[in-house]
Amino acid sequence: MENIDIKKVAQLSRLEIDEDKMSKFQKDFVAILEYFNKLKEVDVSDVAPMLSVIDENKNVYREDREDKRGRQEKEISRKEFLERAPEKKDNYLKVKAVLK
Amino acid sequence: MSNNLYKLDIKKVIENLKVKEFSSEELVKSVCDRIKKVDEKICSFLSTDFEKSIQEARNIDQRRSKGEDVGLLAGIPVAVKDSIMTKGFKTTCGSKILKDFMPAEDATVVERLKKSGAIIIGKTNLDEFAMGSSTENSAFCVTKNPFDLERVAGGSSGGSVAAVSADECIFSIGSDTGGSIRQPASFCGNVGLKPTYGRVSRYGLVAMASSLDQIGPITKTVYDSALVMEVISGYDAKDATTVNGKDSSYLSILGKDIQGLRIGVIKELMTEGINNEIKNKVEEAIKKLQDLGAIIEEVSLPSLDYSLAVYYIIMPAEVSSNLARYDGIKYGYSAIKNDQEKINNLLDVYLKTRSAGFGEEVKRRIMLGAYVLSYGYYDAYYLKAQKVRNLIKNDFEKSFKKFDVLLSPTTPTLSFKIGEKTNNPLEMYLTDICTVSANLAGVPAISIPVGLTKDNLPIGLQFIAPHFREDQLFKVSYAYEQSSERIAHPNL
Repeated sequence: MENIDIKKVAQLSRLEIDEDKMSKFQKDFVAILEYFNKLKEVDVSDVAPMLSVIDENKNVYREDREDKRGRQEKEISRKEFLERAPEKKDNYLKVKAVLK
Repeated sequence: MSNNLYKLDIKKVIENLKVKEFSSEELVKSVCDRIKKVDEKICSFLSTDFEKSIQEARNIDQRRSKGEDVGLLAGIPVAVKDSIMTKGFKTTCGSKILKDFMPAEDATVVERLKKSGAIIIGKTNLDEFAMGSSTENSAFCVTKNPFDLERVAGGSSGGSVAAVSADECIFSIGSDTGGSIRQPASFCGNVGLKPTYGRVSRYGLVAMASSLDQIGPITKTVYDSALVMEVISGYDAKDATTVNGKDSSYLSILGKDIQGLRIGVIKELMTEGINNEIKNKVEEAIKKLQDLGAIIEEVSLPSLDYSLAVYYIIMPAEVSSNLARYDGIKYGYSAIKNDQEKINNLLDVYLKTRSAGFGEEVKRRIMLGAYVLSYGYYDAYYLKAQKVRNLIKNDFEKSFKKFDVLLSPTTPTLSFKIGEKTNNPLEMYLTDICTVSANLAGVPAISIPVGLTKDNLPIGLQFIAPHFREDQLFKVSYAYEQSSERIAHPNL
């Protein structure tokens, strides 16, 4: 198994692994990926990937019409949303600068 | 009777409430006392609100005495897995990242339960974000097996299952992505059902793997399971994967005989890897089913040998996407609020929030998912797994041409000791080997208790049916259950 750059995978996932846990984490990660090698035995030349679990879920549509249900029924209120927000200002959600 | 009301099942409660043998208030008080007595030892619950529950029971008693229609499950205490949103109860998903999160709305299943009069008695413990097979990954506590407090209740719906086993509720609701209802039900001697994908709304279930997750009931009897399914099943406009027009009235099928029912014993799930006591009990159950008239043969589903690998590729892939929302920006724990964290920029908010908020197993699965979806690896892992997934579904469909239901043990092992498998993630994953394939194919599957080992540990038997054929599961399970002795309550 090639050397997996665990730090890179963690960065992609927006995670940090403690240095002292790193080597066991890497070992376990590699062991799991090696288990996946089992799939090399399977011939899938005539098989399509599964797109919907049950046939009834293919192409589920709704009417192209405005949803006239009252706001309350459809979504939580701005107040309820902001109550749960870590940082807010003037009735808006506040975040760190996205662009430099 | 009044002291042991908590021991009753739904059917008995409904019968007794009808003739005013006791009141909902007495029932709820009995359950609350039971929780107070045993939950310290077991840790099924993460939150309860006894005063509120008792008040709700009082309201129902009052309305009932006025002749109002209070609903099918009126006054009956139900425990709900803490990954299902409940207004008025925190929903933590067993994680530090949501440890104080209070939902603004109820999940659809919760709404339907409340509409039928059921009383949410509390939220139950689970492996963090439903990732695990023992609740040892919960950020808060480990749920013990009521039959042996040194062993696990199973997972990830360990809290929900132990609560039913220990009579800390009359029934409970869990979720099953790779066996998270069935495996603990098997470990703790209960009836656990994973419905067909699309049968029960996932709206309000905190998503783990969206193509695999299903909510289902955990009950003391098969009848109760069928009854709860009638309440919670059905199309929901808020969940586009639910299906319209599928009949979900199962009670009428209970009691029909299984003469001529064709049962296939899955060869790939009866290997030497299965614990001997489990295998023996399953063979005994097969004989009993034959005595009841079923025609039983072995059947091979060769692609099932790959189901664990397929599951542990697809599930983490979906997890990595579904857990991206926990970023410390909109809700939940945020590193910004933590004075001890140095936050210089937006990336720090994400890194520090997620690293502190998530446990190790959650991080592992997010990273596995990111890896198998990444450029250069997508074809070999994710795309391949999605193709093999279709092979698995095809194998099931092929076998259902010849058989009405399939049969296997629910788990390869008995409930294991706490700490026994925490050092080796892959070994923990292998305990799912009998259950994951039903999620991959979307077919319904049930685990029923079929006996105890010589050490008093429960053994579960699994039945699997075609899509939307829960009626077959109920028919065969009920027939088996009615012809067997009910396993003893745990000694608590």
